[in-house]
Amino acid sequence: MGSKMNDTKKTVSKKGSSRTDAWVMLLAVVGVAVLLNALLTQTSLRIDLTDQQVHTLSGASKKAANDLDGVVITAYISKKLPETIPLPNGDKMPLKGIERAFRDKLEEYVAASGGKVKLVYADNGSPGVGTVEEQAEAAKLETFSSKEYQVAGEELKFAHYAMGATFHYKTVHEVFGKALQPGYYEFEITKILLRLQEKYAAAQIQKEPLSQGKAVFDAVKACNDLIQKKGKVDEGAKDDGGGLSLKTGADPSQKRVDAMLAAKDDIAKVCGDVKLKIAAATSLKGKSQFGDQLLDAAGQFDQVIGELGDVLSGKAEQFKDKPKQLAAVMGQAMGMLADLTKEVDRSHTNLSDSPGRKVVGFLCGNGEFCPFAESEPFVQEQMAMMVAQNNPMMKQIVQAATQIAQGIDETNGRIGDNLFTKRGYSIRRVDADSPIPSEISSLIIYAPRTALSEYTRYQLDQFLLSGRPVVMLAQEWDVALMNMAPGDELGNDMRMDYTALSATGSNLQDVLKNYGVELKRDLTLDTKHVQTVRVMKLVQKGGLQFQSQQDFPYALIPVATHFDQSHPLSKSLDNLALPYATSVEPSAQLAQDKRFEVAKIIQSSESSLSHAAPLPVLPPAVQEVALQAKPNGPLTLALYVRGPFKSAFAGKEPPARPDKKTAEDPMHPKEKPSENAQELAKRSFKGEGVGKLLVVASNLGIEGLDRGQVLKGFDLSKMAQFSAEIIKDYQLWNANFQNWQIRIGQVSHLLGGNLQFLTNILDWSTSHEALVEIRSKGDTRRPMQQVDDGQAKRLRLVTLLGGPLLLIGAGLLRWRLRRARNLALKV
Amino acid sequence: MNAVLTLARREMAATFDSPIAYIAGSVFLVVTGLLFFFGYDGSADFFAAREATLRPLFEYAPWTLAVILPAVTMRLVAEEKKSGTLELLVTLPVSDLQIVLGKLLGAFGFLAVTLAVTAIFPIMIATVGHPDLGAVIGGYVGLLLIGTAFLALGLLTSTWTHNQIIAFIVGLLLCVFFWTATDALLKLAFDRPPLALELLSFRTQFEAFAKGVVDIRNVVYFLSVTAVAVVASTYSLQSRHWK
Amino acid sequence: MTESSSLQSTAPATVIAVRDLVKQYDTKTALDGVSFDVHAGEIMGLLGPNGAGKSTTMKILTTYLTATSGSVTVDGHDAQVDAIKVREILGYLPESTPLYADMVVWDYLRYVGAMRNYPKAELDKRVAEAIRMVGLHEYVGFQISQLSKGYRQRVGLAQALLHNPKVLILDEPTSGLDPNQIIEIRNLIRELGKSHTIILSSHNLAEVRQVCDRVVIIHRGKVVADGTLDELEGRLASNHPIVVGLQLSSGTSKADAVAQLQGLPGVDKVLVSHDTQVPVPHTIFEIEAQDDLRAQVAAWAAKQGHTVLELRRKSMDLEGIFQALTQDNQA
Repeated sequence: MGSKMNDTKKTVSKKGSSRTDAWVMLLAVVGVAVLLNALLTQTSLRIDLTDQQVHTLSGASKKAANDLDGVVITAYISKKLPETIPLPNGDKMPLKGIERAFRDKLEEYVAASGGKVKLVYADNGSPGVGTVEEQAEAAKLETFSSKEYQVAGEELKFAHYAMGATFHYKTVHEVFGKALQPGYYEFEITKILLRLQEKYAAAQIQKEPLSQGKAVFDAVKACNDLIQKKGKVDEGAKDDGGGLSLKTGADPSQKRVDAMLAAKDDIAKVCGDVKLKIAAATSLKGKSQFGDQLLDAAGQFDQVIGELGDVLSGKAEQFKDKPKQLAAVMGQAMGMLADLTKEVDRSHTNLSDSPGRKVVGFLCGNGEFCPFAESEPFVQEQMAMMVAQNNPMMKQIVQAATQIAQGIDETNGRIGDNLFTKRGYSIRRVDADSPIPSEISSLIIYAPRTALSEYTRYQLDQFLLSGRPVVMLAQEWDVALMNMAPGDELGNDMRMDYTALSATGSNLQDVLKNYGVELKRDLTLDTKHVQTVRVMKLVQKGGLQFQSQQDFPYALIPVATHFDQSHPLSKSLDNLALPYATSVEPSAQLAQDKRFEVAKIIQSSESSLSHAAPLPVLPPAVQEVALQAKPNGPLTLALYVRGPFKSAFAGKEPPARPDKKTAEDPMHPKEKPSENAQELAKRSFKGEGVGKLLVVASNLGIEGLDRGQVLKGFDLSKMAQFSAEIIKDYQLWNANFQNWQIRIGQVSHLLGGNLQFLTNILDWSTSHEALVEIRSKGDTRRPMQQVDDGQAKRLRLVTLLGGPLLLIGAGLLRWRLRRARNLALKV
Repeated sequence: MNAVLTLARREMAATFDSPIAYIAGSVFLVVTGLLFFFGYDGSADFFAAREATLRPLFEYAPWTLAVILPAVTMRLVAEEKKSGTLELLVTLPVSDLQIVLGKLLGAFGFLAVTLAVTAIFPIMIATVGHPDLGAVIGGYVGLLLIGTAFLALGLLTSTWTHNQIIAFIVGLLLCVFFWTATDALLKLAFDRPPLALELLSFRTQFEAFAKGVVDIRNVVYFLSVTAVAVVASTYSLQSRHWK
Repeated sequence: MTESSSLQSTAPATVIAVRDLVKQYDTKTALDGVSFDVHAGEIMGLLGPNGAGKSTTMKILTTYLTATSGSVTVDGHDAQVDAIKVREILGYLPESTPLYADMVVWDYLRYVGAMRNYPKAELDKRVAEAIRMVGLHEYVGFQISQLSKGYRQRVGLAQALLHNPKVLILDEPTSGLDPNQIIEIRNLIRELGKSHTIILSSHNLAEVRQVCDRVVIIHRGKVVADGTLDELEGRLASNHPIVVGLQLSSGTSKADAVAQLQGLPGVDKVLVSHDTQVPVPHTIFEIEAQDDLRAQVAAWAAKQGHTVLELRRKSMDLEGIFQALTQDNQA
């Protein structure tokens, strides 16, 4: 009876409940939402839309996490990170969100490992372990500081922060010291996991030397700890030794003496162990650089202990009743012991880190890019002194030359550190005209400017045939858009000289011919796909000289456009400019040989062309030449060959090791190569072997800086007497150094993109091909064309006004259309 | 569903009939553009950085959206309350939920159109570089989601009053609060805020989108906020029954 | 047809049944047990002064509000349980005709039609029909804000009757209009009444009299009268004083006249209201009586030789009527 429905009770209750209902329902919805979100925190269902799945762990990373069962990651993250930290160039690096990014990434690995990787966070909580930062420092993380200082006790100091992790796997561990670049987290962590795997495997084989090394280190540390504790000059120092100390308010030195004397038996017992452990370390000796370093430092430590023992045991009578002197001697010994302990620690760290580490060798000695400080000093001190005694003027020149040499060393050392060592690569110098050490697992010949000797070629040949990767970067051309030359008159400053394009003295063409690779020694020009060259100009203004720089598109710096997508070295590249490149092709024979894998991994564009010298050097002139010629691109700029190479020395006598002519040092005459060496070489000769060879037809914009090249003709023996020639030489050296800087400056802006390729090469050569792919993800930068101010202004204007105009224009159009329609509306 | 679409179409037309759409849209485009090119303190220079990325847009757009979207949503219900048309609307044969959804969808239309106009940014960048299209799409998905959440919050405040200005101010506060203040408040309250609280912040939830990652957790979060605001708006409309 | 109508097959079907409606705002009781029926085809006037509860009743009828207690059924559907269905049946023009001022008439009506789920093909036709029905055909392309109040009212009516609803609910459809517009709208409503059941509210008795078949009078949240106009007239007749304007025959004083009138059978009380000079000097008397004594008064005046210048029942203002009705109810 619808219309008669009169259920008052029901409707009354309805009103009361609908308000409550609403609230209950709303709370229920909130509850469901919270629950849903909470549940989902455990899942990781996500779509990475970025080009190379930058934000998703790659297969290689997941595999690395899965391959190791029982990795424990300890993350050290400061409780309160600063907003920014200063960068060396004065910029500030924002840290916002970095902590979450790091934690997310670590947790992603944990998730990918299916429980094999454990993650713990270092915490401030537990007593006795110190702050996160202190723990991090103890775990050998790199802490960093912001510019904000904080008051700690009575001193002002910069606050230190930690952000990193340690990775333990069974007996080995690795440190991610400073995790401040989220883009590279995956790369770094996967690298560490791969490294742990290798290290552990290698450490299993080298168990004995490693445990002996550790035993020595432990003994040294125990001894040092004891001595440092006993000898501590501290008012509040506790006397927990033999209880013999005089508890009168004696002066600290007396206290030290007393404490040390009281503990002398202890010390003798604990420290005697060092000698024993050194003696026991038989399998450590002579096996590796670090093992020897460790034994050496431990030996010195032991020596100091011996001397200290003499003092303590009263053999050194002269200190009797002279507690002050005794204390001083003890203090000195303590300092030495502390330093030596650090040295032992360092060697031990290196030793325990060395198993399985792949070492990349850089050939040095032919004007290559050689990122090391020279091992030998530029001039022997005694020699320099002799010269100086004869002629004070010469003394100055020698000093200045030494300074240049030091500058070169420092620069090279820093480059090596920053480009390679700090990025976790082990690099070693391989001297030309010396045997290649066995620890080298791949060899890079980076843009030699002079010819490799027969002996070096032989070493290289055998290295290649042993199956280890060989990388050659060619520098066939030297381009100087500006050159400095010594002044015309004596004592004059330098002057601007010529511009030139000249061939270097490299003989890589010759070397490579033996392996079926044709290095063309031509010039690769391009009219369309080019980068700019930066020209320094000296501008005269009011009697003062200013340097200014200007960028010109340069046909001699082709930009590669074809990258082999199937090759790990090139597949992730998209931005590579190859200054003064030549080109490289497989010989017809090689190309047809089915046994060889030949990949033209990087090629120039279709608009490029091969041009034989001579060529003018100034950008417009080069452009003109390039425009007139007919393009014959693409040209191969990087070639990869793998296959059964034949030795270039088959059927020949192994060349003898030449004498070093330079830096002859009368005090240390070079040992002559023994007859045995020659015989040995013959016996171990390999006539054929599967090798991997990568040839890049450019130096990628990295110009080698070499002592011999800059300080051309420096000969200390000539310094004995003054001559005008020497002054000229000196000016030339200065000019050479400047010219190097100018050449680097011409192309330094290209380095960013090219370095990725270089590090790809290193990873590939150390068979971490998986990393090649991952690293390229770290570089999420998408380069943009250079936009000049005018264009920038136009683009900004168009973008800023375009949107609103579009919107308002569409609105007006809509309005007009509607008005017209409304006027026409009829029923 | 039909009614929702009809209502959405009317709301969108009404939005674009009024100058506020063009003012809000233009302000959004210009302010976001300026932030994009020069950063919040004018120190950045997009072209000098030489990176073909839309990241700055995705970093700043939520800010400007938090300010302009309440200006668009403020009229949705408040205006109808004031003019009395709400009475006609809710006595049409549609449910209150449909009304809320229709209005939200209409406002979403404005959001979509405005964001579509920002396509001028990636197009501009594409003329001088190769932006990562995937990352751009991810960012836009995020902007649509966070924008919808803002719209839902704005719509909710619009149901609370018949004064548009009040609706705008409260909506603005609510949006800005969800976008940023949770961060600031958390910072005040905790050394290291618990993750659960950190996750409440729109900012935290938006990060992944800006990078080009569409994570179901973030998507569900924004949809949850939107859903809660929609349900609350519906009950707010229904509250006339028990006043 | 609904159950109830089939039960009373002879009487016109009950389309709306309102039972014991109570609406309590926070402190104020707006409705206090309102009940009435509306039958098919009726034009029912809901009459009452401002604040009497007319609008509240209509808002509950149209499901805009929910009653605190009591029930409303429209064509058999409970307004609270089955609100959407009820809304489909009703067409509603709220008080003061709220409309989207920025919209064009055509678009607005199409929007309402679409919201009422009209299929596209039918929609345009139906909108055109509604426009013609309310006489808006010259204004289809106009923005609503450009229309005069009367035309806006037509737009409101058009949207209310767009879907050809069984019941039209019009809240004060003529308030705020000028006299010409009022006449037009009333005519329109009368026209619509031929094909629809209509409830309209008003505080104007004359309007209700002109337009409605039946009237329900609400006062202070209660129904004080419910019936056809004739019934109501009858009930009210007893209470209406008679006003008579007499040019007394010479020699008759006002006091004489009062006394004589008092003497007529059935007269309760006679008052001298006032004197007036237009068109000729005469005096206005008010006579209170239980019945309509105009015939008797006229006969008396003729007999006495007075010139009758005016003879009518005094019209009551609403407040008076309500007072009368409430007193009546109490009595």
